[in-house]
Amino acid sequence: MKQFKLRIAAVIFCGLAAIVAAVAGCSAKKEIGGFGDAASKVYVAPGSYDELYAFMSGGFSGQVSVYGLPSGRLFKVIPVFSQDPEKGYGYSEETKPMLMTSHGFIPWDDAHHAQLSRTNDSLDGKWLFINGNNTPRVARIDLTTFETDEIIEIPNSGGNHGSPFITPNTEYVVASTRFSVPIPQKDVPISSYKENFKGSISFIKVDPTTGHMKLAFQILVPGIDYDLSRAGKGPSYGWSFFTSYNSEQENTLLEVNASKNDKDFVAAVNWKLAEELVAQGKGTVMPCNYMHNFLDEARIAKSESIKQVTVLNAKGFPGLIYYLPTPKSPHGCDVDPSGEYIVAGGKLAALVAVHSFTKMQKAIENKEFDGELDGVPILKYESVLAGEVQNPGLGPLHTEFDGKGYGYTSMFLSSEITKWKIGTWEVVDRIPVYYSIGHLMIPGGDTRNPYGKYVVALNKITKDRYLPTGPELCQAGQLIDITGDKMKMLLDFPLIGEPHYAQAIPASLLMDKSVRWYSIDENKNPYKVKSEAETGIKREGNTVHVKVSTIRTHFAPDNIEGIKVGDKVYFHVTNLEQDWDAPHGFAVMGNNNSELLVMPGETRTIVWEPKKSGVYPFYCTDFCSALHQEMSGYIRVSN
Amino acid sequence: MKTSNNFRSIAALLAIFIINVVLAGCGAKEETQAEREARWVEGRMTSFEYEHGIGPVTQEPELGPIDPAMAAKGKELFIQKCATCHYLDMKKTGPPLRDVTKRRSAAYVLNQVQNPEKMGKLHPDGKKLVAQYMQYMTIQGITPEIARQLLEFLRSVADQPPVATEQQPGFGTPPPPPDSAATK
Repeated sequence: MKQFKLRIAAVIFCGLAAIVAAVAGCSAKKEIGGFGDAASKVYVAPGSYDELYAFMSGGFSGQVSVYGLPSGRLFKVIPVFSQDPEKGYGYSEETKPMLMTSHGFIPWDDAHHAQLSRTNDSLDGKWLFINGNNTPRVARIDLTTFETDEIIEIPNSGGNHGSPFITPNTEYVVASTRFSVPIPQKDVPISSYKENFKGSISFIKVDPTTGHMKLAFQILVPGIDYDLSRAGKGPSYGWSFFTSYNSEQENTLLEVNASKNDKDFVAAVNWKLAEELVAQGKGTVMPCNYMHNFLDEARIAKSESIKQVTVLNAKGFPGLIYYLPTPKSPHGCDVDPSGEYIVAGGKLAALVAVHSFTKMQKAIENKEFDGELDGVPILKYESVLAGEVQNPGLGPLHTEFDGKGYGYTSMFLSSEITKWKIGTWEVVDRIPVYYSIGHLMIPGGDTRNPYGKYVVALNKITKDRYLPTGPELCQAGQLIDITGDKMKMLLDFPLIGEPHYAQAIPASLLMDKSVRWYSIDENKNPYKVKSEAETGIKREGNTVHVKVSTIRTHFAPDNIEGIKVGDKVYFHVTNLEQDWDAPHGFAVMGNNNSELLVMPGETRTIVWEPKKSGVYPFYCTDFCSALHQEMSGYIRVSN
Repeated sequence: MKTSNNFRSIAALLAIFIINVVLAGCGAKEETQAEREARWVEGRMTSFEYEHGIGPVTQEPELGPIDPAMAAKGKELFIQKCATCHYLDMKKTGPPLRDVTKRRSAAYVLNQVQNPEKMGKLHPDGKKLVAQYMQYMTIQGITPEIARQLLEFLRSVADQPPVATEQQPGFGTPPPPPDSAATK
């Protein structure tokens, strides 16, 4: 009721503001949510740096975008799961293997959850992980180069939404299957879901030095839909918690059929125990087929096909998994900085349930069970519940923490963020967001050391917030100050693709480590050149390798002859520059391919198959100097 | 006109003298690199810097007789790092370099190759060259050791006669593949 009144008041205020503005002859600006000195809090003066890097998932764009906070300025789009012709990613010979899967080359995916690596549950600034939702994959981005270094496919998964959630020392990247499927895959009636479908939870081991990922083991779990996850910490270290829905085990019209039960589950998985069982040889080796793609020491992507995985069947190992009943189709699953509380936003419930890890352990000890699902014990709701945040808003999804004793939960349906107190579970503040917030993000808000200055709302719908751009509108972030008792709206800024989750890290942890160029002396590409004298053209049958160098402001060679119609021409372009911000581009007229963008000291290769004789220009696409326009050449193609 | 020029020269010399005296007067405290660079940005340079360039080299090095082994190494590095833009005897992207060690001091050459960006943006002679060639000299990761080897190569060629373009060290574009009739 109070909210309703507030809205009426807001509408009246808006109307008045519009009239005043019209009378004054200036454009009407929305005042909703903003406050007096907001501009000074987000203003980063020309030449000054932002306080934080924010890594925003690109959703259906398949990429990650890098923004500065508090300014909301876009710095870079990092290509991950989608081809990017601007950078030649997924087009150049050195990057094409990164997009290989067991289904073949896939130029796209749906990227949801950005996760920064951590040590002792604090951000360490080494890597960023992100999931491919559609064709199950996890990517690792190096935070010194801001490039995708590795992508691993996940077998026995039917949709990689609950991923990649990592353990406190980045021991494992954890991925649950959203859709249960027959494991191993087989041709069965879809209506045989209950009988034939299984879920899986994958544990990918991360090498602490190189970051290299290896699928260590999978746990086969009862066939329902698994979702978001967080790892335990402190007292709950060694466990991971996953929300789930469709405990009804339905296979059609899920919006109705999978919303019947009052409670679904948080699955608590003892990964330390799983690790021990696998070490004891208790796992079974199962045939499968997945791809593992990584940049080798020459910075060339390589694909390896892997044909087996170690599996633990949850049913056979008591103590490995418990279900914690949780209202109702819960979505987000978040662990507070102390590691004691597991918070699950009951998407279809008008409350946020908070479970206690201590109570969970006692309930396990006392066998306070309420039945089982497919061999996995279900604990009693009352036995594990720490408290409920009552009337938080509508459609509670995700919770992040400020490190000062408060949780912040996003409300999708009522478009607001609700702040509540850990321990008393009382709502202490709420702020409207515009509109339909999904995830929210406090920098480090899922670690033991949150940077509790801002929360960013990641909104799905912007409707009237920006100048209209036809039917498709941008998604947006909203930066909110959380330093005081009341949340204060600071800034709206558009985001790319659909931002699902994002993570942010203080700039001081990354900026000094940023690579400025690659050393030409350490270039291990077999087609590199270290000087113009090493450039040249070599024919092997119908294949022609052209080694080209770039430096401001010419190509060598810049007159290329001897190419014939029907040849397959590999241009290996080495950028000889050894300077910061000195990439060169390379594009050939009529090439059915992208351009190349070659970083200083790097070699990148693009293929051209000329179809007609003639003389074809090529040129540098990335403005490099006053004589950039002159940086060009010709290729003669003969019959 | 002449008087005016003379007057300007005297004024300039006086200014340099004053800067030098002031800097020397600061003697108690060594000038930091940041302070040096701030001074360059303001266009205030010592007489040494005017003549020998701005960069890591602050006194003219003592050079012995030319060391052929060092010059050979320098030639290799010249081909890798310099020949993309410089011939010895004709203009390419940048100026010809055969007689550079006669035109310029050793310290100037060492500073130019190690600090090309600031030489081009801040040093009066460097700025003139940028205006002439419309191009900043690129940064090539030149260490003091590499710089010294390049200098030795340049010293070794200074008194040799000019050669044709195709004979220039590191002359670029190699010939097209011999198997192709289309190239005839």
